[in-house]
Amino acid sequence: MKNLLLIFALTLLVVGCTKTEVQPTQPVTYSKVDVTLSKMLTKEKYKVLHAQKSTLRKTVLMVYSITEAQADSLRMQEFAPDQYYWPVQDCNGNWLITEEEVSQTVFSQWLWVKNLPQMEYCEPV
Amino acid sequence: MKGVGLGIFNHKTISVQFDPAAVAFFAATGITDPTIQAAINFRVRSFKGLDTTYNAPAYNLWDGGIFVDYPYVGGTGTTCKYNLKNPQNTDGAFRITFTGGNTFNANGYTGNGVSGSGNTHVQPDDLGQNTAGYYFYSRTAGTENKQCFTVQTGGSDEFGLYRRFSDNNAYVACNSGEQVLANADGSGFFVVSRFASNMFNTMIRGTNWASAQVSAAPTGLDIPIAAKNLSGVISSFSVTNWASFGLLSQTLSTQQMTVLTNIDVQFQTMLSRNV
Repeated sequence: MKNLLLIFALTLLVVGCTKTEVQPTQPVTYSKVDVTLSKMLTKEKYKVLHAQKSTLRKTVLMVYSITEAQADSLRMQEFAPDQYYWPVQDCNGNWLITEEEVSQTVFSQWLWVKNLPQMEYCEPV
Repeated sequence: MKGVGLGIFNHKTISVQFDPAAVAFFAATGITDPTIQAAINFRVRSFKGLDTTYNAPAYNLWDGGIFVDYPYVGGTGTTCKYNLKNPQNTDGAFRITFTGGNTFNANGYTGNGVSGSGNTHVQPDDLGQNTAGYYFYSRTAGTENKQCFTVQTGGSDEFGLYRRFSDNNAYVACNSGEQVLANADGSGFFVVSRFASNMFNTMIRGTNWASAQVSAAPTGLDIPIAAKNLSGVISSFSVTNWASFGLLSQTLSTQQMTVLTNIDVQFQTMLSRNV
């Protein structure tokens, strides 16, 4: 009987984990646990906790990987009328540009960005 | 002297008198949509106190408070970048320079939380230590633990706000430290106006709070949107959906803040994006 209960509990845990996965391209949202914690903690303490959690949370937002040299060449270059590239680094120091920058690129000299490799985004702490 | 434009309503072509400032904005942005034109013309004339439908006292907010105004219409980076008060294509006229991943559509402007932001080229010291303020319309109700915009040089916010932190508070700064205000809805119209060296008002969806926060000398850093400018480094990108934004260089009374709120809400209603 105890084994059955254990199997049942493990099944619930697996199903629960599956349901809480963040869908691709969706922004990170804050769960009820975050809200409850935030009420218990001061804002500054919460910021620290959130930063620590961010490094642990699985992130499925997809971005486009670039080299540092490519980041230097793209920075503040116009990719569409009145929009300029702004390469940033992820939590591991990898350079990237975002889905919006790639999909909205229309100027011919930058169309090569549409062939860049994708990677999962990890928010810097 | 009024500008004259053409508007098409109900399949009939009629002449519509537009304010010259609205005409200049249409010329700069290339906007021809009659609904947007009517809304912009309403916004300009109401700000000037010429249309008193939502500005019964006929306050001249255009010349008596508003430093820059970004109505975020037209659905492109080009149409959203222009300052309604001075729609010239220069940094000196405070056009917005959009960088990184951003989305523009009929609902306004939204950063992507990774790299998207804009530079207004306005600095807090353009607005005055004890006269500065800002306003914006948020279409995002949920929590976000990043500032919609802020300029900082130290540990605390100096000019900007969290509209709704996950503890259901807004954190508001106006050349000062942060004032904490209970706010369980991150959407709607926010307006902040400093009226003394130790006080500023914050009106959220028409309800006002006076905040005792002592002002400090404003910084000379550019004010971003959807990000934080921390001593010249842009970070902490937001995903709030903005439907308007403006900066104030003269103190508004609470009555004027109410009028500004009503005008902006009506403007968003005319564009079918009021939430």
